[in-house]
Amino acid sequence: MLEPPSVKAPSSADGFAEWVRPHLAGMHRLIARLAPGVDADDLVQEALVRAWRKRGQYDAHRGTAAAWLLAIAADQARQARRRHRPSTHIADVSARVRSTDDVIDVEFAVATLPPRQRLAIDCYYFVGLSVIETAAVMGCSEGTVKSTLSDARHRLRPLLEVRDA
Amino acid sequence: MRDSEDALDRQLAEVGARWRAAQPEPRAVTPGLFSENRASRFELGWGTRAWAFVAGAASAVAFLVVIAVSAPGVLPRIDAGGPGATAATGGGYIPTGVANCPLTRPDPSFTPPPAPGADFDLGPDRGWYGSPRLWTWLANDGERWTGLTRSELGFSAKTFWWRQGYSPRAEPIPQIFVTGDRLDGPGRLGFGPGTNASFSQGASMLVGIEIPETGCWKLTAHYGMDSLSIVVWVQQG
Repeated sequence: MLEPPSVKAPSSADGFAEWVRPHLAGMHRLIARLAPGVDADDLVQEALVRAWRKRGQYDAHRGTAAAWLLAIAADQARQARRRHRPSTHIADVSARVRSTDDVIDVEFAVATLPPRQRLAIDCYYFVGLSVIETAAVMGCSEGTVKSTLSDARHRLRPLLEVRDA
Repeated sequence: MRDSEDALDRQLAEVGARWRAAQPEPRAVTPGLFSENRASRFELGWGTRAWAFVAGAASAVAFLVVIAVSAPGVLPRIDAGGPGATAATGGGYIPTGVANCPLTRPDPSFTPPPAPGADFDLGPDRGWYGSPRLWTWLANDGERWTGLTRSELGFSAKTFWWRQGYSPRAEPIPQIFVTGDRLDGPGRLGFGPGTNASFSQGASMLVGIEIPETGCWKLTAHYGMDSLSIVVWVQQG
């Protein structure tokens, strides 16, 4: 008879370190995206310590380890932004500046989006999360993520001058 | 999805993939991180907190001294009130109008020093200005900023500055500050520190500024003992 898969986070430090290792890159990218200008490595470590302390609350029936850890990382990034808030922040300034690089154009266009749409674009396109993981970070349903992404693309299209093929 | 949405989806996915590829590897995690006795950054004792406060205050004083030495007259303007953008009084202004604004143009004789992974080719419409200690990019006919978003402090704009050897990893919040004087009327500003922004042109230091009025502005970036000034035109668009 097969044993049911574990639904709890590992309780040993060694096991927990192994358990989070596959998700480090995603947490790092998410934090780098949501809290630019703050040391992402430090924030990842802080998020991991927080996850370790809350490990008893993790329940695999309610979501994947990746989604749980990403949600904690996103919350850590939000707190860091409030703590460290510099007078300038790429996501706080919505200036259009002419450029010769489409990366810069996209960055500027994304910076003009409302916060929820920007968060969806950041998670889905930049951090590379799935819709399910984006929903975990945003604290909403998958359907809401899809509609938010659609609304964001609708706003971005004229800014990026994407023309019908 | 319509064709245009497909194209936008592809563009976003491509830019996102490039951004991900440029991200550094995260620091490795060790089991020691999860020691029950480990104190987090938010659980520092009062002694540590007091030391951090003193160190931060000392850094701020050091910055003010550097600014006072390198740009006399700036400090009183920054201190004049408001969170960054202030208005000043006095005469001696140049006539209004972009034709009277001595816009800074790129310096064809200056080429940024080579940096790993950086491509400094800006194409035909823009060029570089400054020195290896501090430089920026400019439109060939000068920077004319239109269509800037209006905030409660003024018109929001991003300024980008480079310096040789800058590393976003070593200095994610570069201690660069931008001050500004309106040349055709009253108005001054001061903002900083910056944040980092990496493009194909390498790692830059980004300072967002809020320009309180339209017109002709002299902007000066200060980094350590180095400074670089440019003149730009700001108008509602």
